[in-house]
Amino acid sequence: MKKMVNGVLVDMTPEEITEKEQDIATWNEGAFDRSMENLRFKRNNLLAETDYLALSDQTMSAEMTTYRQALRDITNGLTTVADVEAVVFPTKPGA
Amino acid sequence: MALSKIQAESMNLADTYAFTGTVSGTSDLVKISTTTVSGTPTIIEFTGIDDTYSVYKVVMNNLQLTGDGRMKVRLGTDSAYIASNYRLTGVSGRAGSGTLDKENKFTDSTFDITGGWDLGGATDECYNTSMYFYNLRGTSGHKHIFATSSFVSTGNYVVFMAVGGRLYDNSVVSKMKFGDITGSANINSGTVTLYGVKQ
Repeated sequence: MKKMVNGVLVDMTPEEITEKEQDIATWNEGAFDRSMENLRFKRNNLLAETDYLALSDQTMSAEMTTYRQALRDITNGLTTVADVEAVVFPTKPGA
Repeated sequence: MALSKIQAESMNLADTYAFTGTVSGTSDLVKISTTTVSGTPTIIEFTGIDDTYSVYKVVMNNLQLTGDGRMKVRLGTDSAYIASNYRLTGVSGRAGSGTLDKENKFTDSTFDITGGWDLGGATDECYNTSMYFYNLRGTSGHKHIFATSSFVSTGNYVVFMAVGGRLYDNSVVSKMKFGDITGSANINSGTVTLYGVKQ
């Protein structure tokens, strides 16, 4: 492996190559956790969009209640990155 | 008496003269080092970050990877690179998606400045960015980054991204490296320049 240091192409040291291989391995091991984190982040944003409907002076429709529950349940049963990538978010009903 | 003027036609401009004075009025943005990529390196590294400048700027122009990957930044001390406690937030937009996405990396091993997008590895898919680094030499407080990028993600989609973040670490930073640090793509071509910003 090579690297460019201040504009000069040099060989990476054995220690640097080991560090690089460990970085790749660690990254790959964390793939499922990252995909779940991204899924929850997107899910939480979608829930936040309709949080105002849960205020006491609002009436939440049955469709909206079902939609929000589907969002909360969207992480259930996911065990692989492929599972997460196959998730389809529910369609937001008219408020 | 010190000379303050040079008489017209008294100095041979073809000669070489020693100069011991101080040049004033120079730019406050100083180019330190330019890397023109060759030899498909795994990473690009700048060393010698010191107290000369309070802010450092890096410009990447037309960087192109050997395969799909990410563009990441890691900061290091004289002894080692720091591989934890990088936090990043910001927004990105992809042409064709019609929405802005929020970026949120709370405990990462690098600044992932391509966020959740894969940088495309095709020959016409490139990465361009300007990024600033603050407080790299501080021993209290934290190292901050602010980066704006335009790049082509996998599938030939153009992405705009603006992110800010910090490294939660009190070490004195003296070097930085760039590339697909946690992936296997190398860098095919492009130019990366390090600037120092005087204040």
